[in-house]
Amino acid sequence: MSNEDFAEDFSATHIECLKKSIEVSFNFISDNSLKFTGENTNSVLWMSEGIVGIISLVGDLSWSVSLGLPKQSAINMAKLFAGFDIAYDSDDMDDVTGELINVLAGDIVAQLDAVGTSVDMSLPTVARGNQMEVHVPDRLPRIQLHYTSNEGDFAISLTSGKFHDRRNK
Amino acid sequence: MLKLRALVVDDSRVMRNMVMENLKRTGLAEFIFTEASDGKDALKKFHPKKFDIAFVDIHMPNMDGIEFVDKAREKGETENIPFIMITSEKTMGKMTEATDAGANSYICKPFTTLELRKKLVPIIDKLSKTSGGDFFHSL
Repeated sequence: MSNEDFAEDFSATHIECLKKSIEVSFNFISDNSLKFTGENTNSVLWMSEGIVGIISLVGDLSWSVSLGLPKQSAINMAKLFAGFDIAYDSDDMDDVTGELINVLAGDIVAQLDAVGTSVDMSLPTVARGNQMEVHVPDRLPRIQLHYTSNEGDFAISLTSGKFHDRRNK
Repeated sequence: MLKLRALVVDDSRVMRNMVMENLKRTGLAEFIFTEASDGKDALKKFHPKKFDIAFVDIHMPNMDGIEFVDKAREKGETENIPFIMITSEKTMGKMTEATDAGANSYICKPFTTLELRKKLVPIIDKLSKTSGGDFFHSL
């Protein structure tokens, strides 16, 4: 995907909204320990063992936002968010992961709304497993943002619903 | 201590527990909780004479929180029951929608016990004045 494509689908303003939402949401949850560690635009979200929460935003733009939590990060973050221990292999862990992506998506919707971009959010979907790869169609523009906090590493993956026809490039 | 019968509506069991735990920590009342897992479930359990206050998530499957509040208000005799929306959706549009349906206030997730307390103090204060304290039921 060219830089031109990327700029077309993820405007600097919208990416700023996303990054601000991540900072607001996860600094609140992780006691202001959030650090941005890097980003890439072509790789798939991968974890040796972890849990993923996914929410779609549809309206003036079409985004799929995924939160990838490695196992230990999920356990630590769930405890901090809920205020009590939550077993990794439990329905409650799915619940918390759904709430974490829900909180993030809710803030993204508000940030986008503040810059005149109106979107609605879906209910969250949660998946858990080993050797996980979250694939999206090859032609969809995407960006992956990596963070670390006192609770461990995690990644936010954003995919735009807009296709790019490479045959015309 | 005041005793309040509270309906807590959220599709997430963890969130319901978090809301109930935080409500206890506010120290504003002794809450007697009834839980509901979505708007439909809440509507089945809701009766104006059974509750003093309701805490309702917006984003839920089957029936969302706004539709639940709207339908609960339609039952009548709910003027003295505050519906507090607890939500991750914080746009003015969504808040207006909730208010139009009959919600009294909202608190955004994630929240601290202190934030919840700040929201609740005037609501409980107003309720006690308008109802002359009748809404504080004894067990």
